[in-house]
Amino acid sequence: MNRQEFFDELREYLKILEDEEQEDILAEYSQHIEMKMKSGLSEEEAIKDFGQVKELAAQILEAYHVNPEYEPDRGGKNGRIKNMSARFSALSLLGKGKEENQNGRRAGEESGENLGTDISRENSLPANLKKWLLRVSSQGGRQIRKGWQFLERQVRRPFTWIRKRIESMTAGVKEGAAPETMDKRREADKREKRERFVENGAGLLTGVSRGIRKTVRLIWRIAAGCFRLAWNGAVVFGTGFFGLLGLFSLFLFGMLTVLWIQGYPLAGLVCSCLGAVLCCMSLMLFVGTFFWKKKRGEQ
Amino acid sequence: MNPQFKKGVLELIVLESVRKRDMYGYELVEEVSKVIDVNEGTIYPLLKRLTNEHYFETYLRESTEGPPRKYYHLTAAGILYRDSLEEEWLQLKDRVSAFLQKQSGGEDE
Repeated sequence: MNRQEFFDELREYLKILEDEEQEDILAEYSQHIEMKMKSGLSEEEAIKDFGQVKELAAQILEAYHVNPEYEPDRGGKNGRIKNMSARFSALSLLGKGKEENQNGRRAGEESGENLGTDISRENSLPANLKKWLLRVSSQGGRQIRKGWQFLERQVRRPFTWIRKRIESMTAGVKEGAAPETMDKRREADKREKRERFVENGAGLLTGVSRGIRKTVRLIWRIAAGCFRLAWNGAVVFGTGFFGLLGLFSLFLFGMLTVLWIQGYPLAGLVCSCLGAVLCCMSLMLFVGTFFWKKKRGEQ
Repeated sequence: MNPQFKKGVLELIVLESVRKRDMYGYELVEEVSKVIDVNEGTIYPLLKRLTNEHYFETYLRESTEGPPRKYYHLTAAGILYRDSLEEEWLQLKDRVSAFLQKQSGGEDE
């Protein structure tokens, strides 16, 4: 066998590897043959020392964890892979597997072969899958909305209770008027009452009682204001905190991705970082909606 | 010699040779052939596998006698792996020797 025959045969067995890898391997063998020839052997003898080409190729493929029996270019299997790709172009996960196998170069990825055997028998799978997904998502959406409303009510209950108490307090001052939520109306009533008192000319006593009532009302207003301030502050702080945390996680995620691409075994960390980013962002939005809703409620 | 024996110690010999100094493929084959007689074809797949598993690093160095040669260099992981292999080999050697001596000792008596 001469060198070219040897290489051709070896290349045939190593088809599944990437072109770069194939050339790399052949270059090494070529160099080896050169050196042997320099030390006196003929090309034939040098190549004979390698033994059987098939066994050699099997050992090489072992280095890439490829099953030496795997042959991607058989018509039937290739056809199966093509059909699979046409049906499942929507499902990106399977689409990715198909790409890698169609190029036929990714060593060790027998996933395409397995998928071919499993999925070829069930051709209604994608339709069922889609229907199931739609059903689950709509039901899930409803559940989520209900749950959200429930949560909202729970959270707002203490505040509405406090608000009602404040209103009842101010209403108590106002001689049995219905509980008002608007400050303006309270102001108007107060003015009315003041005018009435002045008109009646009740004198010092009424002035004193008015003063007392005013201070009580002021105190309650201050308390309510403080509480609202504290709540707003907490919401803003929460939003800012989670926002910063989210940005920090995003930065970490970017760095880990770069390192991962460079070859460090960081797949797990990258995934958890992505999860952290999503968590922080969603928490930030969640806390943020309190603020917006409250604002809209007040207006 | 029993091919299974050779197969078993081949990795250790290759790792030890590269630990002493960086070598390229042909040089390594010569070094290993000094210790055991082995099919040259099997060395290159072994080198590929050890490189894929990050026990070796490779780099190209120009040579006066032709195209640049690919040199193999032992990584830190490779050193650890080599140490573990040597330990296992010594253990095996001791146990098998002890077993054989006991046998031959028994037969002598």
